[in-house]
Amino acid sequence: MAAKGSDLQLSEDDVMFLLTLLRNAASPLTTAQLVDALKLRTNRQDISSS
Amino acid sequence: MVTDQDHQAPVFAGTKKFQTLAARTFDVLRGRGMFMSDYAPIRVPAEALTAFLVETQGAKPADVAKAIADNPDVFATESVGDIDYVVTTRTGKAPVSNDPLSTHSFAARFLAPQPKIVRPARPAPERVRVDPNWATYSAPEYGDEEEDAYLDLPDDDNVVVVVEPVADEVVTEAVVTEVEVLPSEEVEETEAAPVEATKWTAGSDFSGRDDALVATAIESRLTDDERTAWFAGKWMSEDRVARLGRNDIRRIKDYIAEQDRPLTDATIAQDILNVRANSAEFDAIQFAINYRLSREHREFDFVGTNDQRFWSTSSLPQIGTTRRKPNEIGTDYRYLVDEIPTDVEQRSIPSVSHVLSFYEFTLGLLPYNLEMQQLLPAQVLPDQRSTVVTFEIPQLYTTYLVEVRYPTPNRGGFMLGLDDFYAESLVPGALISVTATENDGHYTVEFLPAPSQSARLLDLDDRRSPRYHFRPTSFACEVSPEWLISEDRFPKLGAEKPLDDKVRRRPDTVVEATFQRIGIEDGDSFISTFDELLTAVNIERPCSETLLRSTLEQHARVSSDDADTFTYDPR
Repeated sequence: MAAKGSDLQLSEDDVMFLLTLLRNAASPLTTAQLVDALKLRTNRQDISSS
Repeated sequence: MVTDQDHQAPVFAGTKKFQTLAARTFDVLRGRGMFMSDYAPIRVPAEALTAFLVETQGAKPADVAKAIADNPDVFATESVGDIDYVVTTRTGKAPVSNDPLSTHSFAARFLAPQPKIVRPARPAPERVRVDPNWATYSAPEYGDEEEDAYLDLPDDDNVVVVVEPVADEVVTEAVVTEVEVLPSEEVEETEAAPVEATKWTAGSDFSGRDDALVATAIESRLTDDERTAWFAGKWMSEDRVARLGRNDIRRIKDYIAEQDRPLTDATIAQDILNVRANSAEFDAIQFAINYRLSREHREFDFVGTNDQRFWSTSSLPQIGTTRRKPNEIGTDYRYLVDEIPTDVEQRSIPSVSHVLSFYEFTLGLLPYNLEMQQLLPAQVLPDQRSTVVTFEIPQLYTTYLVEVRYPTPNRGGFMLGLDDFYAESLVPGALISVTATENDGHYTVEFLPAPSQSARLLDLDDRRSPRYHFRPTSFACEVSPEWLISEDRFPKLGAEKPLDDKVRRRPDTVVEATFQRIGIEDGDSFISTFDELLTAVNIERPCSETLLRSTLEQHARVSSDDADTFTYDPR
């Protein structure tokens, strides 16, 4: 496990997003997959706001 | 026995004239059937009977027919062909047919079985579906709905528009390669309230962030969240992790004890939980096993890697040698704690070459030194004390379970379980190569084959009182001559006993004893080279070049002129 104390922190909305993602997944997801999902979500938001 | 039988005359209907005529008719019929049984039908053609009564009684044919017809209880009529018969019995009752019923019979059941029951078709069971809020997904049209809703707003300040974020609807594919986010909108209109428009809450901006930082943020935030389950770098929603009952836990524990070795989660899933490896839920079941067993601290120990997840119980016997306790071996390797830096990059080199020392050969182990740490993976769990990996020896078609004991602040790390491999194929001084595979829990070990040769090599006889002796040995592997402990090089070792534990624990005392065992006597001093000392010290205890050199340099009674030849003066 990575050490705690990073300056980057998840908001409650990010946590809810990840929980929704995990609930919909049929198999376990790796941490790298969760990172990809968060980044992809950010890109989607950029597209929708532009 | 019936000796007398009374017959009651039947009672006839009709007027007295017809009663008399019917009685005469009955007498005629009973006379005809005088010797017949009581219930046997007595048949007489109606024409002959009428003619007889007309002739003897002077009755009219119409009266005879009427007398017969008025008494159906006594007379019956039947027609056979064109002839009409009058029928009665001796008891005065119209006969009853004795023909068996043909509506149902045993023979008929064989010939005409009951028709097969036709059941009505079962209605198709209603398929249970998840809540559409979780399962359905429609392609979002980014911006349009919000924009339309905004443009459709009336220009009235007294109308409130509240756009509430509901739940993000996310579609996850087998591998998360694309995640879609759709904000659902619900618009309510109420009057006499101030205008307030809230856009759905946006997530943090992770674009351009380093993956490792985001991963750290995820792990630090979700690790303590009870809604998530984590094991070995994988995540699931806690409520979606299958649960193991007490019976399952007990069966898993018994099965590991029965197999007498640690078992992987895949083996447990297939053999205990009967889940096939190609089933869709196999990954989830493996995760459930790992996650649930990791909660059973008292009964199970995780001793695996990320790719090969072994589970053990406290009742299993120790892997490897029983000649020395693991704690004592760890104490022997304590110098590794000081020599190895803390920031070792695990799994950073593909293979390691190593020369076996006598100590390693005797105990069937390898040191968990810097190179081995760079080859092997780190602990999966923070509090993991040991890991079981598999060492495959292709030359012998054999695979061994090897237990990696991780270092602690007071003890060095080492790897146990190679006793049989060493004893069957190698000698002290043999060269071996350990190579990593794609599976971080599986490694291949090779030794260099060589023409068979014989030598008298040092051996430890510990059957009664432990003692070193030289034994004729044949071996067919490449060896490093500096590490070969033969009688030619160290003849005095053949009569030695292993050092006492108190002496053996301290490198300086072992060095002193080694000088006296192998050194060339020069008056009261002993002279030996560094290579010889390194080989001979590693008979009693593990010792690296660094440790030996520092021990020699710090020893008050050891001196050297060229850093290769050392002199020990015990006075």
